[in-house]
Amino acid sequence: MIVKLHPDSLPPYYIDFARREFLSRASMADFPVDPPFVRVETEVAAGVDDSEWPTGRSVDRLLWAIGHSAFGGQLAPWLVPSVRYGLTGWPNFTEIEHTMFDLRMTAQLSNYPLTVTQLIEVSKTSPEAVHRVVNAFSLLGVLEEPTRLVVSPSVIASAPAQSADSTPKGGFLARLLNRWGR
Amino acid sequence: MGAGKTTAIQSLSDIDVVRTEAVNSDRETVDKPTTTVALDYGEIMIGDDEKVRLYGIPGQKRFEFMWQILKQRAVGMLLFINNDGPDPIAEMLEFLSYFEDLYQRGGAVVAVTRSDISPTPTLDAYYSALASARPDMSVPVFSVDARNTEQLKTALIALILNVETREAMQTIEMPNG
Repeated sequence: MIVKLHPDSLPPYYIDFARREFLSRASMADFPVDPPFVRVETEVAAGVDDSEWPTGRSVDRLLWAIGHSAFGGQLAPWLVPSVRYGLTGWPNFTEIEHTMFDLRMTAQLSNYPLTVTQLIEVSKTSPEAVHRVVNAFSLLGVLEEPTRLVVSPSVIASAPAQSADSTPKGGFLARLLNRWGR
Repeated sequence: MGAGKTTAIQSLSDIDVVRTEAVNSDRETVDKPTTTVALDYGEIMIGDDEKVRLYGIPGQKRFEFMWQILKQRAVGMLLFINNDGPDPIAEMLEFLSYFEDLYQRGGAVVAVTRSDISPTPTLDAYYSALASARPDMSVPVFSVDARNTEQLKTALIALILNVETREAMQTIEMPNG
């Protein structure tokens, strides 16, 4: 199935979920943060032969951008703040634009499942920032309700801040990032 | 062999990489003229007195003695898997099992190379295999071009973050019922 997205006045995005690729004349830099409307067509490619389409870009890049920008900073309606979530894997950050905050939240949830409420507490940042990255995890299909490790409330309260500011303070990683100009 | 370790260290290192290579006598497995026969060594300079030491060790079994030495001293591992190999997922699981002590002490990241040449197995397939065979492990898996310095830096940052996150947090087992 091919899905055609028309975000606002931009050229359409064609998404081939079978090949997990998307095509668009627009660049990812053009992708709107808060479009007034997005028209979605799911029948446009019925009968369309896409076997000769050029190789597209990974759809994960598009889904990551949509997850961050959709829902106006609120948690996606199908997610529950009190439910514990973990990750089944990391987004392929070598091909997806990301921030250090995205990486920190990924490291957190992939190792220690938390509720969204707990994740906001650990990150010591705005709920909106956490909502956006969790929404993105969900759209990528890597968010899960795990049955393994949990973290006690006392540990969460004493956990070091995972700031939304992309520049960590002190430590080896901070010095390495500074060395690399990241 | 042929997964891109030497190239990766060359991409990351701030010094000229020390390489130990010989003529590749196994051109049927990987068609390249030379291959690493001891190890590659590079450094990332953090400051005047601080550096990250990079060791690229061969994956052939006959170099297992070298694996033993490094797995005791390393703090983490970037495992390069050639997606164009005969069974990349089995190779990943075998190495993660061998280096489990290193994973427990520090961390590991899997860097899948040549996925532009061989699109399968997909990264989802790697994660499915990990979930099935090693549900106790949390290992990032990325597609990587060993010549792409920024991709390698992302993988290395993910490794360090994973190590730091696990050090910072405590865990308790979920109670039964």
